Amino acid sequence: MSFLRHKSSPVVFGLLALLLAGACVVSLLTGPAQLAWSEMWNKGIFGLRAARTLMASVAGAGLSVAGVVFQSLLRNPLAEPYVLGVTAGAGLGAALAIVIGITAFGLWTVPGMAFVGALGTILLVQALARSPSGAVPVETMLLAGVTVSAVLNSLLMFVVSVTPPEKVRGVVWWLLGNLQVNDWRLLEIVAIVVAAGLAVAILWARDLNLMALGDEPAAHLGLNVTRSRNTFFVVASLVTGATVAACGIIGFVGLIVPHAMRLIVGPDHRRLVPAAALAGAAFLVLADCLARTLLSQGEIPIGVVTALAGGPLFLMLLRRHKAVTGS
Amino acid sequence: MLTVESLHAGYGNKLALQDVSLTVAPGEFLGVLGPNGCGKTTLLRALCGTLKPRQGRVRLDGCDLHAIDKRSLARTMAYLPQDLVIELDFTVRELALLGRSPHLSRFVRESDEDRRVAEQAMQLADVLHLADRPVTALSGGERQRTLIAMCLAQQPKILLLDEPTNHLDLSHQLSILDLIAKLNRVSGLSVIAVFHDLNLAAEYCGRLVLLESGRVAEMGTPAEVITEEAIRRVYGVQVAVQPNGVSQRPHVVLTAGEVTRH
Repeated sequence: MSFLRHKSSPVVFGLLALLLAGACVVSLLTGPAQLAWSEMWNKGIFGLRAARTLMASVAGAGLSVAGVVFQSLLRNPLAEPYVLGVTAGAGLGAALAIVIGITAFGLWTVPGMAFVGALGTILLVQALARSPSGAVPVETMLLAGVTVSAVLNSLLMFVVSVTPPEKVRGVVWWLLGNLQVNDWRLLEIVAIVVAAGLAVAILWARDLNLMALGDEPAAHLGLNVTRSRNTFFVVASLVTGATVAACGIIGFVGLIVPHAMRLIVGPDHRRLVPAAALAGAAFLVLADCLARTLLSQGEIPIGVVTALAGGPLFLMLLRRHKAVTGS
Repeated sequence: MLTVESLHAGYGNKLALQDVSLTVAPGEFLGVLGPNGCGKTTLLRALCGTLKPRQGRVRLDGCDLHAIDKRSLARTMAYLPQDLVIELDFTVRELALLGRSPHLSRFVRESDEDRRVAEQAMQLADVLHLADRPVTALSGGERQRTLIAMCLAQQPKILLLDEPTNHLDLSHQLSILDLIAKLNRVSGLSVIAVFHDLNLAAEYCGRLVLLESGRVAEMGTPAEVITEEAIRRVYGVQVAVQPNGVSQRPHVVLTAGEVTRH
């Protein structure tokens, strides 16, 4: 199935870059306003669409890379920020910052609180679900992730319920996933964090390969397992936190994209991480085009679109996993 | 040279090894035997530095194992745990190259030399013809040989194996043990392997250590260790030990209960 696996990297990455470029062009030309080019330019619609396209690529790349990292660390191909409850944790942190109105760190406050929520959640989930070998088996991950998510979502709903009425619509809209860019500086922050996380994951990709073998085999190949795990948990939480702070809760991207890329480039993280970043960006840009055009009026929240695509895939993979392990 | 000095080790409150002392000389093939739960795996994990001793010491060429940097330890020692499952579909070649990790500094890609060593390791383990197959598509024996290739790519001086032929059928058991014996004989690799099967251990190992509830019950050549008396004492069963007609090594003959216990 890995039909492009032995093709040279430039070909594969060239195709993926082309896909992303194509997706961006489609996104720039898509929207409710059917106007001529000159008119779009003059009314500033083009700038709005460009910002939104950029946000979708950054968020898509970030969530996909976070998914790849979690899958390696937990040795579990179904691990994903949303299923693990990490996005819910980030959402709660961000919502608290927004609703209470904390501004201690300026524009970095909301992403910072989202990061704290994300990191706290992944540490809790893996402490609950980890087996002695360091792996987090699918079944226990689901139990821990679903339970922690349920608690976090209740808290999130509580935060929404005490939100002043004039703010509620904004908070709910954000929670369902929203790629609209209201503040260019927030887009900048997310882009910086995602780019940094991506760089770390690419530079340390061999460590991700070793971690995917398991704690003991990785240690026997000379890896400092504890340090690597901590580093990558922080990186994945930072990326997830920044993305959630800007775009709300967008599920399953970190499952769909890495899964597809593993089929195409194979499991070696030196190829998988950059491929997942490019494909994740293209995927979310295209999903956002659908979200903006499927309804004749208004748009579908992007989180709903990715859940409709990712939920069935998750169930299918879970079924196959059960068939293989017989559990 | 690996030296163990009155080693005590365990998990939680439980002490799984007590006062174990032994040495493994370069080029030796040592088999570790004993009933389930006697501390075989614990001994192996202490020997490779995964488990810290409670008391006593493990020394590698005179240095305390825990004072040695992990990467340089991984260049000297390779360990194949029992029933290691690789879930991702790495190819055989990718896994063999991962064995080069302890030789590579962080941001350096594998050189031609690394590729050559990995290829040689695959050749030795007889998986070179499978190099581009995903490991998840291989049979149990082929997968185990791939993992041995990964260990060999580390270019270790000492190879630790935990029941390397577990769950394999007879032909694969013998081919894997023949391979390990050849590496031991030809390239002077020290091998320390846990065995479940007394006869396989007696055939292949130069020296055996028999553990009983965390202590060394017997240590010596196969003929010294595998005796009717020692097996009755440690395993609690009555067997007959006769020389193997071909190799002259001790051979454990099992009979159904009615015959030996009248």
